[in-house]
Amino acid sequence: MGLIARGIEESGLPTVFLGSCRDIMAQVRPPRGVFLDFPLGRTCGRPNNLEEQTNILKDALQALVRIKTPGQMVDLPYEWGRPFTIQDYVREQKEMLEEKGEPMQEWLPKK
Amino acid sequence: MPIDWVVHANQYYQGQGFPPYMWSVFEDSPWTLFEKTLDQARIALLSSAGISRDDQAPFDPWAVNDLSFRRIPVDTPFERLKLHHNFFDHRDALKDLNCVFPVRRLKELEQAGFIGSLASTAITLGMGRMYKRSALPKKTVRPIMEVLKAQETDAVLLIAA
Repeated sequence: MGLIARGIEESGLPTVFLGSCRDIMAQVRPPRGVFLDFPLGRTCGRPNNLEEQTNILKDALQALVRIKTPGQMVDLPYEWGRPFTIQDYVREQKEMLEEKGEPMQEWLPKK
Repeated sequence: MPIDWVVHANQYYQGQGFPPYMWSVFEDSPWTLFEKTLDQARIALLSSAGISRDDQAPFDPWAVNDLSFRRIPVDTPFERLKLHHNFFDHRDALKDLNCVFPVRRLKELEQAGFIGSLASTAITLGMGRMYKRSALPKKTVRPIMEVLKAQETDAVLLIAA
């Protein structure tokens, strides 16, 4: 997705990229990055929390104006409220798939 | 501390006997000036949460090298939208698609005058596990640009899921 942001920017439209994978964003360097330290899948805030979602989106949009240096990333101040780790990510993904009755895919790329 | 996704993904995939993922690493970034003010600008939404409309081909939830995208009118009722993406816990997003596809909030920001307008067609992708990155500019970025230009977009908000 960072590559899409770069591609659109190269094609002549300004972009702002809101995401929750800080290390990946730091290396792909979208032109304007906004980092929210929430678990994946809540990039614009918690479900049905209209105020939080609105504030996060306002902050992201304002980065269009505020970021003046290509590749700069701003860290948003919102807090998820409890720790979340890579182990939580793996567990939640597994729970979700079990709820849907889908197996975890063995990760092998197709040629 | 933010999660080290690169470290985790490398360990996970190499643990399955697969060669290291070639991450895209850049030292600099392209740049286009944002010359308008937000309240004058038409903003287009792009989301990579694997969302499609019920009359469109759904995304592969385990996609590899999926360069495709969907055009979603922003006034589409959420009941008509599907989410297929197994690389994030999307249970919250299914309760409220605005978590990853914030069209309702952006429409409100338009009504409040915070942005000039929300472009009438949003773009959705699946993304992830891209090996054929050399094809992205022609197969994905170029047709997306056509959609964006056709609706006189001034700036693009990308939401990574």
